Amino acid sequence: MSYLVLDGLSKTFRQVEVLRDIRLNVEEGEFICLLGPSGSGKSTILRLIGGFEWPDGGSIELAGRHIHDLPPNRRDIGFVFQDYALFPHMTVEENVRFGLAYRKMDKAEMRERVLSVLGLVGLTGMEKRYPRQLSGGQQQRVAIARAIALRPTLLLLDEPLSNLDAKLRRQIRLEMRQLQRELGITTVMVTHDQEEAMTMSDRIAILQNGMIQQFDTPLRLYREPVNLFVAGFIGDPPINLQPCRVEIADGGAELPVWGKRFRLDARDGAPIGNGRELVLGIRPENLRVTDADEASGSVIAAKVEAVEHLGGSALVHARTTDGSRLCAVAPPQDVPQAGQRIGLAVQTDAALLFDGNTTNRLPELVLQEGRPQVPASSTGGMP
Amino acid sequence: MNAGGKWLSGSVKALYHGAVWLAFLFVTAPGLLMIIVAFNDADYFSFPLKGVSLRWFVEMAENGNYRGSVVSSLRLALYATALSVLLTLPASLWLHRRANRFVETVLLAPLFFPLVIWSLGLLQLYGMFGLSGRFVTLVLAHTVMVTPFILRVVLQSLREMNSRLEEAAYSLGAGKWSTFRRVIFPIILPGVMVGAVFGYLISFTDVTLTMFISSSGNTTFPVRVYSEQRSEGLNMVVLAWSAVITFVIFIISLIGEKFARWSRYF
Repeated sequence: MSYLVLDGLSKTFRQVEVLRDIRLNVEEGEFICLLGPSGSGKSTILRLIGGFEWPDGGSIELAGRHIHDLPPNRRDIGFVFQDYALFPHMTVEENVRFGLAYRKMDKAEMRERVLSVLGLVGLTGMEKRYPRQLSGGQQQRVAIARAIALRPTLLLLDEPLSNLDAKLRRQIRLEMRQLQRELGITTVMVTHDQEEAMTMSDRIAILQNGMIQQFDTPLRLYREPVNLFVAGFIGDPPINLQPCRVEIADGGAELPVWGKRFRLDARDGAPIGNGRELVLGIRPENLRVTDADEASGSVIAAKVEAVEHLGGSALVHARTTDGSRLCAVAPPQDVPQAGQRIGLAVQTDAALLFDGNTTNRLPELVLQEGRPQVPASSTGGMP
Repeated sequence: MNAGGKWLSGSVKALYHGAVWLAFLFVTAPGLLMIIVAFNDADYFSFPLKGVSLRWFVEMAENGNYRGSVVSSLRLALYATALSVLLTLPASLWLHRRANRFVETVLLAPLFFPLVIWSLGLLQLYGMFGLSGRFVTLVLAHTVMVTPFILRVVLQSLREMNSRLEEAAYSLGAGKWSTFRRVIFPIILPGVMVGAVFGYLISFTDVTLTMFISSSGNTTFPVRVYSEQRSEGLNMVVLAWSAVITFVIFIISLIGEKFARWSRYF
């Protein structure tokens, strides 16, 4: 049995179904992110676990006990709010000590706990300050200290970094993850920032329209997304997606796309189907910029439209001979210029294929190099 | 005060300032006049002053009748306000949580009713219960009168409070009562104080309701001033009291604005 089990949670607000059949198993000590666009229901899940909303159906089990019918003050769960929700009329110390009053503890023990927790988050010496006298980052640390001072069975974080500037966010991200590992505290965090989710989580649940699309490790979400939504949501710059149609020719399946005919194989003899609609996805880093006249089965002819220099690399936006746009990542020493004709070498084994109708990924289909052709640039066929 | 001043040209600006000062004078003149003439040496109301003296303040201190009325007004306002605050706190918490517009409208409705009409109603009601003409009756009537005002201010400060604070308290293990005592009440306290002061002043200055409800025996200060003014004309001791009261209320409103920014509630 997992440490935290959400089983078939559903929630409807004013006839709008916000969550549908949410199932999630979290192991002890894990750091989990709920990631999704706004309105996907991720915050509602957190509020259901915290006890601030009641589910219409389903159950929540934490450390072996059912908690979904307990009031929030009896769930033993720490909650860090997006706006921190520090008590404005109390000092840092009083804020952190707030919950200890409901535990059997004497004064000295409380004080010791408060000081040690403030030490953990790097706020030693700030005990007598009021929240309004602290910076955003310091307030955030107080909120975390207040939540972990009780040593809760579960820590819930609701977009805890969204009110901080980018640099501080990066730093606190690392600190938080380190602290979480040291304390071994099982944590569920809500965020809409995929970078945050990717760098902090053991596993990420991707949500859309009140349903969990995929619950997996960051790397598997990136490499093996279950559907188009996950593929498009994870990855920055986003994956290149191209609708296309299968053509059966000379006994083999081909995929005419980007002015090129790629071969299509199916594992274990799965049927492909002539005329089947697919979506081909290739991540920008799986497109390599080469010479325009490189004749190979995996090189697409394209013309550079714009280049974004990022310092360590550059994003090359190019248009293929069939008019599609592609984005590729180029190393800084080898960046083409706008207007230049280039070749884009497709790393075919990294390509992802999705069903055009169900949008699910088709792991049984494998993209292969096409037949070598005379490069489009030398025939002058560029529009 | 003059946020739009930047784009006003010179003469328009002067005109604008003139108008503002005129309005200011218009509003404050009666109060100022009452304070100034209380220092008059004459036996009757006159302006400009005949001479400056403190004799009416001395007489004010010696005249027990008026002092009795003032004390009775202060007591009445105190009881009514305290009772109203005790009623308002749970009522506003309930209203805040349920967001029941209908109940809220009904509770706040007396704000907009003509005082005379529901004073009559109240008089009849208390008559039915045999409560007429006692100090308790007056306290109850004043409680009813000030409650909508206090409720409005308390409800407003509850709405200004970040509701996440309440949730934070629960998540830290606090129950409902503990959350109210340690988080909600301290945060809305300025609003409660403002409501109480506001209610107190409304009760203290009331004439209409008190006239209807009270028997002649325990008259409050405003009612005594009003009836004497009609029968015997203006008494200079009243002017002295008025000066003192105006001054105290002025100070209270300055303090209220400085510490609780209370004008935002009105």
